Amino acid sequence: MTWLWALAAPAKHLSLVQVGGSGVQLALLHFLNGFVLSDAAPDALLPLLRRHVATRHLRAYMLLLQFGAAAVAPERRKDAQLQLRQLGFLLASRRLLTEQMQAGLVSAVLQDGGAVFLTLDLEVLAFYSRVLLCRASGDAGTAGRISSMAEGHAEHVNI
Amino acid sequence: MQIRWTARPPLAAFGTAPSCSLPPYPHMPSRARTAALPTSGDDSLALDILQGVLASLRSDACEPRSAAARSRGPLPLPHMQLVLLLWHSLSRVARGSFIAKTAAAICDAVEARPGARGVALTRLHALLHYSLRHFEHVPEHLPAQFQSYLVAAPGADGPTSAEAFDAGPA
Repeated sequence: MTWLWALAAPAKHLSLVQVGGSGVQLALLHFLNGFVLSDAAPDALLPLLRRHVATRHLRAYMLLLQFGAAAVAPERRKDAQLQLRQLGFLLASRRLLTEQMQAGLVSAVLQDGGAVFLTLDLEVLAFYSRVLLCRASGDAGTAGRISSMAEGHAEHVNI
Repeated sequence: MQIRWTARPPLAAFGTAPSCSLPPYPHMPSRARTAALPTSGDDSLALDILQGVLASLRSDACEPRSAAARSRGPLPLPHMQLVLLLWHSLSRVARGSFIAKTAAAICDAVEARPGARGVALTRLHALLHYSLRHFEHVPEHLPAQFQSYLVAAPGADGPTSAEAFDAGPA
């Protein structure tokens, strides 16, 4: 994920966890979730990130969602999964995924008449759910119909 | 495969047909019944997903012994919850169209395998029953189930509450 590497430069002061090998770089996830995508981040960072997130990054993120947590040490697995999950929520809620990327995300799993959708890994499915929930929450007509589902979504994503 | 309708429209047989204008699909060719409904204001991604899921369930119900159907098994509960969420997000016309297509898929499956039962056919019946019963309003339990799945703690031993529910009583 080139944009993760690019964003790693300002985060050198952070203690990287399990650099190289099979470990997921939790420090990068902490950096993205806790600084780049936080409300305290400089205004320029979000547009910069929005401009550089590409389809290949989304594909890499989907792989991380499904297999990333299993690649870290057991004691750090839960944290990795939570950080990946939170990154997915922020990607969706901050509108970092273009309409084209969202359409590509769905069309990729609807090959073979939608059969792939039925076998999505649960973490990956949760990311789809968050993207679609954010889409629905952003539409006035739809939000009214499913408002009870959108309530509390942001509050509990980072358990 | 054409469906021969009797005197009553199919949804009337369920007694609680929603008060919406359904497309006259019994008079349409089969290909037209399975095509995506052109609606304005509905999320195209939600329509695509519902269309794809329905096509898969119909395929599994008609050919449950196919390699694809056996490899993926039944639709897990969280997947079903997302399907229901998407359905609730649609307009009345699109929701009615989904009901009609679900009924058509059931008819196709019954014609393809008279007297046979299967998980996919049961899922189609459940979808039809749910969508007729909750056409106007989201039931109170669905948001809670959906949120519970989204915030389920990772790494917990054993199945999640949603998976346990889906598996049914031991």
